[in-house]
Amino acid sequence: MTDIIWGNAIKIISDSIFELNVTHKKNGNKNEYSDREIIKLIDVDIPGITTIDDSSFQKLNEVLLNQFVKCEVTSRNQDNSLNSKVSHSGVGGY
Amino acid sequence: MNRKIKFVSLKDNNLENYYEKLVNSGYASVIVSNFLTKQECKEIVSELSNPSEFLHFDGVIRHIGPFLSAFVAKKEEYFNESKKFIQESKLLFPKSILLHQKILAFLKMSTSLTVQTASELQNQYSPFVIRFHGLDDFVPIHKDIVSHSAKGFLVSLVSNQISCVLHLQTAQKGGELVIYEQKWVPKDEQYRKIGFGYSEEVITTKKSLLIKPKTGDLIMLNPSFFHRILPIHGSKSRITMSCFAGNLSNKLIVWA
Repeated sequence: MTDIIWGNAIKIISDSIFELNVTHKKNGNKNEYSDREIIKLIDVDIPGITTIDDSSFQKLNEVLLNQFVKCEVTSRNQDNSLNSKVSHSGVGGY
Repeated sequence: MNRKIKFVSLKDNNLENYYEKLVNSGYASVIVSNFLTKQECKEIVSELSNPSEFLHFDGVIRHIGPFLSAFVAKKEEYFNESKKFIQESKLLFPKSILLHQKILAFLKMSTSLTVQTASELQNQYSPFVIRFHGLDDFVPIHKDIVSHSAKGFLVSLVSNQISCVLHLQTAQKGGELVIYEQKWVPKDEQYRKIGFGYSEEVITTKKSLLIKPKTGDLIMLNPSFFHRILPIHGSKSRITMSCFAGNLSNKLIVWA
């Protein structure tokens, strides 16, 4: 089972890396996570970007910054960033 | 609360500019009382109660018709579902279609902008969504800002978004709308719940309005202000027809 964390993207760092303000962690995650994590996109599915090839620094600023997202963490890198599949979280409009 | 509720009637001579007043925060809500008669509402509810492939339960509530926020990362699927719904609802839900036209006609009276249903290239947006809130259902604190939630869709470029909610059937008890005197700002995303809505901590204002809708009321609000629906009690469902409208290149476009 993959670890999952959720939060809002507070800073775009590069065309595939952003900083996440972690607000929720799945019960039963195998690993620990801080309140702030650096996320490296390995796969993406959010409004405005549906494939990793679409990603760019400008695009991430347009569509990811300030969004609440779900990060399925696959591994932690040596630089402490987290490789993650990032998707949007929530069905709205009730 | 500084902003008030404005009650209007279809018989009013001068309805113009209510859209602008709503988006400029002159009013918390504009309510058109008796937009439909009770009998008209009953007939539409009866039409909607017929079994159809469009009645969905998404794990939280039942609804008829696709709505954009359920497809924000599935653009092609949204437009396919919308196309199917538009084509088939003409036969399945003719009264509901006419009602939606009546809402569009009212919006035309409320603004100097041209009003039309939203489309993008050759694709039509869903015109409305019907929601059935049953016993214990509620809607958490939330905002509806398409420019934030639906990037990649043409409607995300609108400014001055409003919600239009027609109450076809009210709950026996509960189901009231609460509007907070607090607009969403980006840092509020730290209070998001997984799935949908915001935790109570997001609300910092003490000012709010409670609206208890009556059957047949059309309620318009500025959904960039936080709002919620209180839990429904009793066996009678709260049934609504909803759509959004927003200004795109000086046209008021409408979608669900």
